[in-house]
Amino acid sequence: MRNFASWLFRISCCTFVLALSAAAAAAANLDGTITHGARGTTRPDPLVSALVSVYNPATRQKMVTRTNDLGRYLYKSLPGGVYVILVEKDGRRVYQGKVEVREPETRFDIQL
Amino acid sequence: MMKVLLVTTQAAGIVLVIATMILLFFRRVYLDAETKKPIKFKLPVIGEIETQAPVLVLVAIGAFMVVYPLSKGGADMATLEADIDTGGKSVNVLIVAVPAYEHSQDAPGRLVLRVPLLSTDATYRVKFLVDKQVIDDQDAELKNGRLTLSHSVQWIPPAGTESKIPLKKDISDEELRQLAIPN
Repeated sequence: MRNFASWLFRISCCTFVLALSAAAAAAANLDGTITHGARGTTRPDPLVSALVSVYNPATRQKMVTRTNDLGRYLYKSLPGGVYVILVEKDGRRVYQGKVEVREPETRFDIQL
Repeated sequence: MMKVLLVTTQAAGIVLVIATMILLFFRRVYLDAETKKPIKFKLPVIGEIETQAPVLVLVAIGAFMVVYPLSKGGADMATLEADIDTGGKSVNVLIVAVPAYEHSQDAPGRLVLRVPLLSTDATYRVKFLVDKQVIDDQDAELKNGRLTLSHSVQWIPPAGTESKIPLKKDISDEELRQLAIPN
């Protein structure tokens, strides 16, 4: 019975530690805000409903999202690495750049 | 993924607590393997306590594993509060969960979008937005699993509203070509 208790204790602890570490290691998030039109002290406007694409040259993976009403975009659970980021508005490219995505959270704001 | 892990943790915690209770009931857990005696210790106010420390540790860990996922669980309801003044006119408030079923279309063409069937007598409204402005708002008729709009959506942007944001390049076109990314 003591062996059983000992194993039960170990298994429970391992499960708990695994659960926490897996949750913590759930890849990286990339988020940011895209704004445009800042002149002098004028506040910039958010770039609404812009198409934001990220390419991982290493894996040839491409993902696409849109900015919301605040000009904010978000990618969840990206593998870490260097990405090419392209922004299009009304079918026209307005930004091209690079971003290094690091765990757990990378913020990349773009001012156009 | 996170939910699965939390449920697993909680299940492991429940098993641990139940198993500890069984062990406690049969008096099979001891601190000291040689003497097979429960531990005795003194606390300042409470006095002398005789207990089985491993059991306490097991119960504490098990309880934490049960309670922790509960604290991480999401709420069923959310509350919206807003100040509204429409000059005496009545206002309808629709709350729509946008991200899952939002569709963006850059070019003219047919829209095909699958949305969850809430119930057979549910009513649907479809709003079309350009730069946050609603350009069309229609009731959609649900029949045989199809949502039908009363008319097609046509809108001409006012003159001079096209995007004039210049292209900003933090990497060159040449670099993009090398990475086989189309210009």
